[in-house]
Amino acid sequence: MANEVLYALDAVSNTSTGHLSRLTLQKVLYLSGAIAPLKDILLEFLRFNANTFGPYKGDIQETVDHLVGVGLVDIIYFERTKKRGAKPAGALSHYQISDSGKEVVSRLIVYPHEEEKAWWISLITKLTYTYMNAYGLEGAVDMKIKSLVYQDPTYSPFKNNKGFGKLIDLSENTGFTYQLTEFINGYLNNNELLPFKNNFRKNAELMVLSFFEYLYVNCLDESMVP
Amino acid sequence: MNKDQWKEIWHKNLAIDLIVKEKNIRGENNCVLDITETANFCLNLEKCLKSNEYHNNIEKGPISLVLVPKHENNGRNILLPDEMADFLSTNKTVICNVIQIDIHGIFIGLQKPAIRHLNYSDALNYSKNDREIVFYVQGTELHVFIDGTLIDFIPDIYSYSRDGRINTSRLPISEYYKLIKAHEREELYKEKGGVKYWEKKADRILVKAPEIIFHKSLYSFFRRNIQGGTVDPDCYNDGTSDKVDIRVIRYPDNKVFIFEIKWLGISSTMKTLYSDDQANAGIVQLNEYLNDENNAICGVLVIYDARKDNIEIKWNDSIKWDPRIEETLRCYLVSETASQKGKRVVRENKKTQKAKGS
Repeated sequence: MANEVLYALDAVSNTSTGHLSRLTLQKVLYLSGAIAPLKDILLEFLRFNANTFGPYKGDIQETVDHLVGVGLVDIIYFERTKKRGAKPAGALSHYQISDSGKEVVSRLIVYPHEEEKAWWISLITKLTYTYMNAYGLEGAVDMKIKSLVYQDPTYSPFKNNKGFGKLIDLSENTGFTYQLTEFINGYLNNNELLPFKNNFRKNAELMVLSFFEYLYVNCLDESMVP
Repeated sequence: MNKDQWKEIWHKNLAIDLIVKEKNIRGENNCVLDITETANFCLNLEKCLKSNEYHNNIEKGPISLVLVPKHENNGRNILLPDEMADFLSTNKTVICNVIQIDIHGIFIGLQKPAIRHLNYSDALNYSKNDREIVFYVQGTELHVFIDGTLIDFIPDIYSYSRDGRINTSRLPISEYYKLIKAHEREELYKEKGGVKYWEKKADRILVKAPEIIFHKSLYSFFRRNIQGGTVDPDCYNDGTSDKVDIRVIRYPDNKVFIFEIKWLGISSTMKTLYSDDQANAGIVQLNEYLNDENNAICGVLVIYDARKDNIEIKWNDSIKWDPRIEETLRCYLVSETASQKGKRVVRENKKTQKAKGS
């Protein structure tokens, strides 16, 4: 899991933002796992808890803390939050990959399996940032990513039925997002709609883009409901 | 999870369309568009064209945006609304409206020698002769060409439906009467649209702060059902710090329609009856907003009436109405169930019969 965290942070290191918040990191890794069946990518983080701020995995935060401890990740912003009503006290933090972390990434991606994971997580991370700036999404960055992830077909029922605290197991093929990825693969392949005969990654990128557009459209629809 | 919705998205999304058609036209080995960068470009272009900054300068168009290979310099990003407005306000498009930008929206330069595309055919021919990707923008209309082939045509960026759903009920804001009545019918009537405004229906007592509920409901309805205009999310009166309830900007002339919302009756926290005085205060407020708004051509007072009796408002003759206040719309809120209505009608009929008999 440490590798995946580094890949996500590396993906934003050359953007104007340069860092990821705690919340955004959780959601990016969740989405990476949720739509991994589009490309048959095997990832380690497939179990999350349904939290009021979206899917959450404690192990990810522990891994980040460890990476900070060994100098591969830097904390560039930290703030303690006070308890507010039922909401417990917590912390807001933003992370950036260090030069040592980038060095580790460059060594990992010489291995094809790791390079593929890095490509996948980078794709998800970049599209997440793209859609967070899209027209019609309002509020702070963390709220926008939360709004997007809330539209994920697997997560959505937890939110609607107030299933907070329950386990989301992305390895189960009964999840709605899994079913949607199966449908997308089937529909595009059976109808020969994937344009690139020699570039399977580009086809996968198009499928992921369509999934993000699906989240965005549903986000816009929800924002229109009084 | 809606599979049909996803299918429509696949076939209608501008970025996906661009990638697929570039491959079809240029061949797999000659594609230059990166998927994440193209998605970013299309979303930024949409955001720019829907911005107030662009619309305030819309008459300075049309413009042709020509995509050139990536540039290393950190020039101005012309797809940012304020940068676009800044550029258009220089009036350089009078001489040359063919603008070269890279996939990140960075301004590279104006076409040399200077030329002007006066219509989409000019942009089409340019795209063909120079083998370019061109986005021709005229008002809220967008044409996209690759190497002389029309890839996409969006007649109105505001009506652009990402998942193919065609909303035939969209109306221009000048038809505000129909819009407000449709909102009353579809969203408010007996709370069937999910808008909860009764605290105690039998006693006709509204919830706490009902103005927030009515405002949010009408605002959302306008956003979903208006064509050729935008509902201002900030709703600040132009140039002042007053906050109007709903402000709609019509395109392409940028004329403004102002809607002030009032409620009458009793709420759970406001035990004093809001009645004629509240309505008249609404007219005074609307007068002020219209006075402060340079581009306003119409003001409407929308009244949600929760009083016990369905009676007309007594207007104060000493308050002069701004001539742009076209009308007031009073929506009497129904609290009776069908069963209650049935009993009441029967009771009233009996009384009438008895009165006739005696």
